[in-house]
Amino acid sequence: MTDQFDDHLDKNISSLVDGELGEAEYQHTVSSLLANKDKSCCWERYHLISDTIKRNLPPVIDCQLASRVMAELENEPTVLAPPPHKTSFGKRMAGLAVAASVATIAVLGVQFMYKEDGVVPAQQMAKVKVPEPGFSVAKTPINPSFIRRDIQTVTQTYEQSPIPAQTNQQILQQIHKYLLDHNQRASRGLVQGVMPYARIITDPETSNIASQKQSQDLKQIQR
Amino acid sequence: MVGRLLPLFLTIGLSGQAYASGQSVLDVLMRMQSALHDLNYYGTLIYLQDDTIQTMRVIHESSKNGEHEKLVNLNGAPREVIRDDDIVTCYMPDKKEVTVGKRYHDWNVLSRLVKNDFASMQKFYEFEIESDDRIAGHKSQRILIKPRDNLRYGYRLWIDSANSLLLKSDLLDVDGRAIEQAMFTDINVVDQIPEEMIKPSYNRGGFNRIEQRLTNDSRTDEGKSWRFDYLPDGFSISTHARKRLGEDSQSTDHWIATDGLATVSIYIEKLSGKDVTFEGPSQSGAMNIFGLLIDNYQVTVVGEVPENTAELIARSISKSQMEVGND
Repeated sequence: MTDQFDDHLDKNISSLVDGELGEAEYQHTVSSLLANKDKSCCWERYHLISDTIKRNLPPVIDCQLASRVMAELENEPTVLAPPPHKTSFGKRMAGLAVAASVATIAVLGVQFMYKEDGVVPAQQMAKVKVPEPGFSVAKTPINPSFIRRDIQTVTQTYEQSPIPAQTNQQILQQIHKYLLDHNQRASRGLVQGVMPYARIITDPETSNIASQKQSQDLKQIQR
Repeated sequence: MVGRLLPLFLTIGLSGQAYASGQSVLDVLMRMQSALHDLNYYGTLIYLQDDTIQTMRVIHESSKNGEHEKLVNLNGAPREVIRDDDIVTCYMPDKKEVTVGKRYHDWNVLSRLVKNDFASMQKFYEFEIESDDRIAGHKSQRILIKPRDNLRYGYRLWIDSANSLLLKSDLLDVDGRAIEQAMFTDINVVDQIPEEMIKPSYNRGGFNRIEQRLTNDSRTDEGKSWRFDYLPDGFSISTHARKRLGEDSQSTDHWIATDGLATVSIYIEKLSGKDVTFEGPSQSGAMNIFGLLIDNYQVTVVGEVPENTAELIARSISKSQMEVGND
């Protein structure tokens, strides 16, 4: 590749990060990015810069994450395509987000992330993904007219710094209290049938909540 | 004209509904709803979610004493859910715990369907009758409920052609993949259910009872100081209650937002200093959860919707400028 071509591609990558590319250039830049391992580092850098400016940095940044993602992608048969303009049910909308930067990864369709280091996080064993306690997210209300319906919302996930086990367990307990309440009360008969009750029965935390309550000696109603 | 060449069962109405043999999707769904509420039946259900598979016994009875339902798991530590009309009780005999909750009001879907809710649901979902199938040895009609955007999940239902019972249901993600499935492997409709079959297997004596109950908290005005201005299209608040989610919890405001099919719970709890707080997305099977801190409150959104929808709903919440009562 010539230097001129490289400069042009770098500029396009930067515009891509900022969402400023037109359709034709978008397609071309995505293809070039996927084909060129060196340029994916450029992609990471631009996102890091962008996130720094927007103060979106996580507590810990794993710069090897993207390389591991790409390694997994090579083994995956999934075809990546930019999101279509019209939502088409049944078509996978992996889109650009899967060819990811360090700090920006689409949540849907990226479940292979958990296979990376072979260690199953505690929260996965409990079947709940535990959010980062207390991290701050942008608080601006979203005007629905700005929501693009043909693009998956990109949610930031981070390599989490170790959360104290007790806090982790307390968060899980709290979340499962809400889940139980929702499935008991808000279930509808129309299409769900007994699904909400099946969820209650299957939720492993149903037993964990009980054991936690016993061990912490909380006050309960005795009948 | 192409229309004349199509067999009757492929005729598409102006509203986008597919019709089969003169029946509309609405007819099929209403008959299914009636069957679920009115018939006496029992069977074995397989439930699949992520890598979890569970088998359950399901018994349903409708009599002059009301409607009763019992679900018992057949694998792992025993769990039992009993529903008596609107009261749902969960038994965990190995932990000697029982949780009791009451549905706020009877979700009478028939009346909702008749009250033009079906028409408004069609703005957000496409209803289609697919080819027939066979489930648990019974011929069934298949209905696909396809979301028109990526803010909600879809459903595929298999409805018994003879008695309209729901034999199988899949919850579908935005790509059409089943993320949760429930299917009967055998089902029997009977005139009467013996009491032995439907009563709880356990005696509550000796169980610790955890009751989620509505409170008569004098600060009920606090519920009025929240606004939901930017709910995603189709979602509206249908219910509000104030309660404790357990004896040691603070009073919590609970709203339910629904688009007619999906239901999302919004819990807002005032923090007392020693509470655990969390922000960001979380997931449990098909359920997505989103936590957010607003002023001194923990906001938690829970529902069978995609993650982005849980987040959008959470972010649509704001506190009113004029606060009633003290913080």
